Amino acid sequence: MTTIRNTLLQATRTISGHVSQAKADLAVAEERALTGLKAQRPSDLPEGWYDAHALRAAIADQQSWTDNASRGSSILNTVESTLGSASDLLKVARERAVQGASETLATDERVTMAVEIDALRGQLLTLGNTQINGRYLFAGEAYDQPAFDAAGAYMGTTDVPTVMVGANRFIDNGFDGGEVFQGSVDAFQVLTDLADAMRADDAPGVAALLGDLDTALGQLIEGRQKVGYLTQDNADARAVAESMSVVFEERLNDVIGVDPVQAYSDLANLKTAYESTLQVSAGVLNGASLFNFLR
Amino acid sequence: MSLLSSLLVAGSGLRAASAGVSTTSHNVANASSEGFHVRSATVVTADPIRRGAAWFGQGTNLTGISRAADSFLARRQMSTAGDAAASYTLQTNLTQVETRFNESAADGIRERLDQFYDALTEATADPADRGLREGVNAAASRLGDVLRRTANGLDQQLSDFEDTMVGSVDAINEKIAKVAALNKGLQAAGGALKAGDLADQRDQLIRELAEEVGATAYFDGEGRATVMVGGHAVVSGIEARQILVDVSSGAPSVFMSADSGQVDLTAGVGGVLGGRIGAHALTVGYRERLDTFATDFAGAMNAQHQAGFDRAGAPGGDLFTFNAADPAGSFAPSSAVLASPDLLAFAAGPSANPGDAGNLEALMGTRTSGFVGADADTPEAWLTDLTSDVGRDTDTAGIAAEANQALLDDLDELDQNLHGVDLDEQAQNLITYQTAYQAAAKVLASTQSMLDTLMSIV
Repeated sequence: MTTIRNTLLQATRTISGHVSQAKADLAVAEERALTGLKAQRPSDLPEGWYDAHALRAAIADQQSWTDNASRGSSILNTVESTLGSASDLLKVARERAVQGASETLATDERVTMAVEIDALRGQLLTLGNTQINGRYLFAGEAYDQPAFDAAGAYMGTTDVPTVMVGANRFIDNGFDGGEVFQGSVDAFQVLTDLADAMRADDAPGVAALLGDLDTALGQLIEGRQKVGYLTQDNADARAVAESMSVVFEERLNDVIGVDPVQAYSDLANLKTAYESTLQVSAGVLNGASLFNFLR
Repeated sequence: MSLLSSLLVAGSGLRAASAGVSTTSHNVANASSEGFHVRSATVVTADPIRRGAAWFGQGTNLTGISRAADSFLARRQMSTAGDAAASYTLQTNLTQVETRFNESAADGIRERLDQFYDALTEATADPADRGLREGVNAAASRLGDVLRRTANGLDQQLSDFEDTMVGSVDAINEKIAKVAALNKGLQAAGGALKAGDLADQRDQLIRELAEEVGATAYFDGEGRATVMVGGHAVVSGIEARQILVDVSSGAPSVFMSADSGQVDLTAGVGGVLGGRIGAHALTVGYRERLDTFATDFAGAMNAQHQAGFDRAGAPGGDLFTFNAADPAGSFAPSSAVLASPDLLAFAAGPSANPGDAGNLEALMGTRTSGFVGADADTPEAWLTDLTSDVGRDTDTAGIAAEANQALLDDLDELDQNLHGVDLDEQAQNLITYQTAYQAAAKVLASTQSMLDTLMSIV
């Protein structure tokens, strides 16, 4: 018959093993409860690390796109407001043209109107050269210089800058001033011609410019509509990025996070288990031995 | 049978009981000694003698002190101890390597690469903006910093591995020499109590050699051990051979000195040294993959950057630089571009228009292009594969370490169950020997009393 021996050395090893394991489990539970993460390094979750990387990258992307959409929003709002002001200017010019086309208007009144139209043209030129922090919004890609010179000639480019607001999603954040102000009709030239006709007391000539004024105004309105669409696109892109950011955060938490309730519950259980292990170990080491009864 | 003979028989009982108490005492004293195997006094009935028609017993003879041992179990313990030590060392060393990638702080290379591409994305908002361009440069610098830091960290780790391996050799050789010396002592000592102690010491040393280099042992009929490492005998009888570690080639090799020169043991080395060689080899592989990334990423980015134009309308230069002898350890953004962010070639044409982001978008396009390594991975996939492989290798080594340790624990427990010192058993033995001693002494006293009675008649 083989004797199965219960040895002090084995008891010590077993106790040491159990205490070490309980302590290690407790340390893991403490780390999880403190950090809220079940995986802090690739070896904690080798297969899930692909997802963790991809989700972190996706969250960072959403943040970049949100930031870009915010910057784009500021430009689009300014452009929309500028085109609104430009439209108002042309409406005032049209009102003066209607008045100036009347045969009953005195010559000096037309000359006064000509001065006013000149001023309106100057204001329109200023609006065409609107800038934010040195960036001319209607100069296309050449936005580091005014879109129009003093004579009203377009200095910018027909290509417009775009900003990335989503995966392969770009939105214009600059405009071709030549198209907006000088599409089929050059708004500056119309105002120049209008002022000249007023100054020349040419009522029929003033009347003849009403159609061009309407066309120029239509161009601006069309431009505002386009900006409106872009503003909506930009807002949509931002909303998508913000919403996806939340979704990806949740998925990342699913992959590497822990449920706080579960984490604290596990921690409490393992603490109890560790203390019990220590108590049982002490009991085993101080347990009964035949030597205790020898006298 | 005479009364005098009874005295001799009682004396043999006293000697046997005394040897039993002595053995028990030795066992109890070594109850917690690593490698100690329980001893027992071997006593046999002495040959009887015939007086007339009757056979009279002559008491008992102490024939030796036996040591409980099982060479088959011992060999399994050794090989498992080597496996456990190798996988545990591999795991702990790879854990150190894993920390070099700094993934726990979400500050790894992949994160920095993502931030670089995000900086490019943000630059589309205003490609001419100085702040956004400096943001791109800052992100490129951080990418370079983390790549160099990781590469240098791996180099430091490799150097630590090599130093530790070289430093461990003296202790290993000392143990090899001691095993040979103990073999010699065992040969001379025979089967006395001392021989058991020498065998325990020798087996404990072989166990330590198993843990340190994956040594195995064979025992001949006379109990001498032949210790093998990588299929070659480093201890044969009383002869010992030295081993040495050569790290000069960059791939650590283990050799054994032999009469004909040096024998390469590298492929067969296990234990701590084998685990460390494995960790070293894996780390070299990770380091090479970093170099591949640095070379291919810089190559693709530079080629695209050179296709664009800077703020002044001049063709772009290199965006990243590296030394071909150490690509990852020297990877950095171009110092010219860092000094002047206007040199970032975001434009597709030479017009110098600030809003021309044609090449900026092309640079961003490299994020989803496959150009890294032989499999033409995207840069992000390459880095994720690398860090995931580090994690998987560490995790796998940990699983193997746990499995091997569990097996070793079972074998050690079995060894203790069969050959360890059970204090209750020793207490029983003590009572037995004490009682036997008292009885023999009583017999001796009674016999002496009878002799005294006889003498008083005379």
